[in-house]
Amino acid sequence: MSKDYLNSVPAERFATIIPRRRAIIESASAEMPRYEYNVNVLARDLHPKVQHVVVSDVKELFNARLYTLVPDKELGTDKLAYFQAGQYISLDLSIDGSRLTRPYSLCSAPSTGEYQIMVKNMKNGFASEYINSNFRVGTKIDVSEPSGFFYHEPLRDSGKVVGIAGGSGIAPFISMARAIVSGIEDFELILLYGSRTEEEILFREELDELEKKCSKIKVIHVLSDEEREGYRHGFISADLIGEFCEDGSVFVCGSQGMYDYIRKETDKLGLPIKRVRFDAYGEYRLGKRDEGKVETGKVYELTVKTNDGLTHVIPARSDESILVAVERAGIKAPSKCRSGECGWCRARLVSGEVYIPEMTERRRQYDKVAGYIHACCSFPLSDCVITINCE
Amino acid sequence: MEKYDLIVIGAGNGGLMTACRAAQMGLKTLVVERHNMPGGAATSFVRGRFEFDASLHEIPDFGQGEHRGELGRIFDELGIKVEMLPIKDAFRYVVEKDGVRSLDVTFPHGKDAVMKLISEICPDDVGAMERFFDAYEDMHRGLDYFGSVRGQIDPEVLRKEHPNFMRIMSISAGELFRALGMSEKCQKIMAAYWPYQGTDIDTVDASRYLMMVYGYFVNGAYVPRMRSHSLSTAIVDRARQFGCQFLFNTEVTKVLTANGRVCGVELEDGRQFEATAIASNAFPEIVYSKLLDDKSLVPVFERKKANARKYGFRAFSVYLGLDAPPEEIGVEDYTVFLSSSDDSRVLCEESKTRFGKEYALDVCCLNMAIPDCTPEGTTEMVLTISYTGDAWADVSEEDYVKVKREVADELITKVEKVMGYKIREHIEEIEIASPVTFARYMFSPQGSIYGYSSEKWDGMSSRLITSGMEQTIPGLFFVGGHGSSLSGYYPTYSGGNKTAMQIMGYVRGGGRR
Ligand SMILES: Cc1cc2nc3c(=O)[nH]c(=O)nc-3n(C[C@H](O)[C@H](O)[C@H](O)COP(=O)(O)OP(=O)(O)OC[C@H]3O[C@@H](n4cnc5c(N)ncnc54)[C@H](O)[C@@H]3O)c2cc1C
Ligand code: FES
Repeated sequence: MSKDYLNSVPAERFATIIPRRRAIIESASAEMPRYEYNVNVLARDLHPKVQHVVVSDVKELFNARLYTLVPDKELGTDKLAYFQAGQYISLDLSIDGSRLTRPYSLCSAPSTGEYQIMVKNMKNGFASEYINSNFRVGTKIDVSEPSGFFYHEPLRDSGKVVGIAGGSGIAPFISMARAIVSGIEDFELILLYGSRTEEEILFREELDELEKKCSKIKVIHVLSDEEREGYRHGFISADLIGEFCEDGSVFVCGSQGMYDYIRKETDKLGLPIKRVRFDAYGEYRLGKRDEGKVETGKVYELTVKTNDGLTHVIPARSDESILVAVERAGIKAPSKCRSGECGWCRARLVSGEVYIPEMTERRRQYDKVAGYIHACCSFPLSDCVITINCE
Repeated sequence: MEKYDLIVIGAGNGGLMTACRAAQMGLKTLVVERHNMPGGAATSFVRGRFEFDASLHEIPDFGQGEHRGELGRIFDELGIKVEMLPIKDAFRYVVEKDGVRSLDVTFPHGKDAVMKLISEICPDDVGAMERFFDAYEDMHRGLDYFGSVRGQIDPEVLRKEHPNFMRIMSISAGELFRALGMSEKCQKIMAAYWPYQGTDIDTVDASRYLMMVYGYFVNGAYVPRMRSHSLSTAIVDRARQFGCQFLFNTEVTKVLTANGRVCGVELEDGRQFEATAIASNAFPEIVYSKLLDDKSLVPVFERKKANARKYGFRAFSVYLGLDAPPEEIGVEDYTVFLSSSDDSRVLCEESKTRFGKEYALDVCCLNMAIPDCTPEGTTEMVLTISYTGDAWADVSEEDYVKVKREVADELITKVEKVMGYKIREHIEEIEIASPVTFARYMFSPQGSIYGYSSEKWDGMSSRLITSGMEQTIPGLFFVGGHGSSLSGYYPTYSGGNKTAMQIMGYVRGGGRR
């Protein structure tokens, strides 16, 4: 039985709950309720599901092309999403029956209202070759929202950044330098820029100019295949990095070979993890370190269940990721970074075995035990069945 | 056209639990989720060496052994297996202003331990605290009665056997504290959990507050070993075993109706699916004003209700991956409620904008519950504040990152200053989520993470008592933080579970045409 410890509250008040609720509701407006507010609009502007763009300008650079992309108003994209210098966009491509994506760093400053990307000619590059021989002024493409975590964060990073760029890895630093000059970003950027020869240096003139315009930017060119006056020679070694980094943060963007090398060099300097940041690793290539982990030259059977209720049985090469196998089959699969870090390509491995290189293992803990994979960096070791969430 | 008994729009906690229970009971169920991941707020993300929980701090009513709570039992019944770990203390509550600390108390879990603490710090309140636990028992009995008669109460029985239940249901938590005769000091301490309810202690229902505090104090609090992502994914996988189907990366663009009832959905690619019932994890206003094919079907009362309601908390969180172990950072507690005032009314008022003079901050360090949740020698910590207003409405695209950073900077400074933690020099990873971030991932109006605010007229008591009376379009059900069980992991899970039973009744009864 109840004790009487609440007698100061009249039990009759219970009877007022419903009438009070009704009265308040009845006095409200009968309009259709609003469901979207400024905050929702801002979220959508910053993170559009897709952005339709048109190529408005093409420039030839050494062994690369620079594309300017503007919003395709005809298709409903009125403006391009703002971003942080150092981020990338993912291009949606359809090549010879394959549906695929490729990430490219934005070179433009965030404030210009247009995007610039630089696409290097890769030897036998499947997508890059297609892009550089087909994109021209007027070409329409779909691109993703700006993505990635390779940007300066003053709460985390030093006010002084030593940027290490290899070849086309200069792209995000161009964006950062432009952002510094236009006052959007505020940090000191010392660029150690490695190229093979003087001729191959990308954005040479603009870099000179940015350096002249702004005391916060300094560029040191390092040539690996050429000895020339006024240039450092060799690789970007621990000694060279040590000359500039003191208490600064080190940001690295370049090829995978370079990442492996720089990691060793910064280890020599004893830099803590927090002070060395690498841009997304890029499409993982199987190499020496994977020997014995995968079989070469095999083709497995991959069964793919997609959102539209269809089941596709396709071949999957042992030396290519599951994502690539799906793309080759012309199935449009979600992906963005292709480096293991964004999780966009998350798929359920229903059966079969895959190899996931340690470098690209960035799954959530539970996904590892529950059998979810990042398809972009999972290589088949047997016939597999997966489900993917097609867009 | 494929036909389902139930289509669930959205795979947040409410949607997932509804789907899992419905599928377990044999309903042919489909879940459609816009995002490529399940969970809504119940998700995690990886930055460098760290994996952060987007939202979860702790779950009450899970319990273990003899203290197995209702939520634990729901998981058991459905066979959802997730490793959960207990959190040692309930919370530490620190109130400090201008360097003067007026309160610093650590609440343990377990009724005996709580009573022991009260006898030490508020010896005069032992009786009041005992009555507080009595009040919970009385309320629980009343709710059981209420449930057993499915809301068809007999006023006579109620008056005779559940008078205290009636009283508790009609007052706020603050009124309850006073009616129980708690001292001012004890009232203030007991009010510490208010941020979990999103409204001040004199607005939030006594019933809701009792339920939560009792759950924490008696059954303890738990966190999953592998973040809330493990909860969401485990429910998806279990539901799938029951035959439930999922479509991720897919947006519902229309809710279809026929003969005054809902009858299916249309997806962004134009595909249509038939359904007898629809459970929306999306807010009612989104269904009413955006998705519904025939808007004239929305009852006037429902429109007015949506307009009368206020949104719950809009959160701001700073996720920190630190490159030093907790002892070097100086952390000793799992949860610290840190505020500049012990008056929740003042704090709520000052939290309407980004510029309030007072603050209430929640500091949560997962390593204190799961020491090896990050690599050796590292710590992860989440700082959270909540807004009671649309505090980010004025921010532009260009300023967004800057504003986010400024607010985060301020929070870090406060925590360092008051708690003496060494944070700044150890930040290896940082991610900042604002109401805009929550709006992005949850699609909730204004980025609300707590559904509708638990206003006096719209709290647990009032939503519960009227839950069967306020009819919307036949076949349409709402689950999630905006539903009748209110927000939080436990309420959205248990609410989804209950709603699935109602849906079962609808589908098996007259719903089928
Ligand atoms: C964050 C980030 C930023 C980047 N920024 C830049 C940048 O600014 N500039 C730049 O030049 N590069 C950049 N890259 C690299 C860029 O994304 C591409 O990887 C590069 O252009 C090479 O692409 P490719 O297709 O030519 O290479 P390939 O080596 O040909 O292609 C890669 C994969 O495609 C597969 N493939 C081959 N044939 C087919 C087929 N028929 N169908 C489907 N798949 C097939 C291959 O198996 C291989 O695994 C960046 C990468 C990342 C991760
Ligand atoms: S595409 Fe980013 S993780 Fe695979």
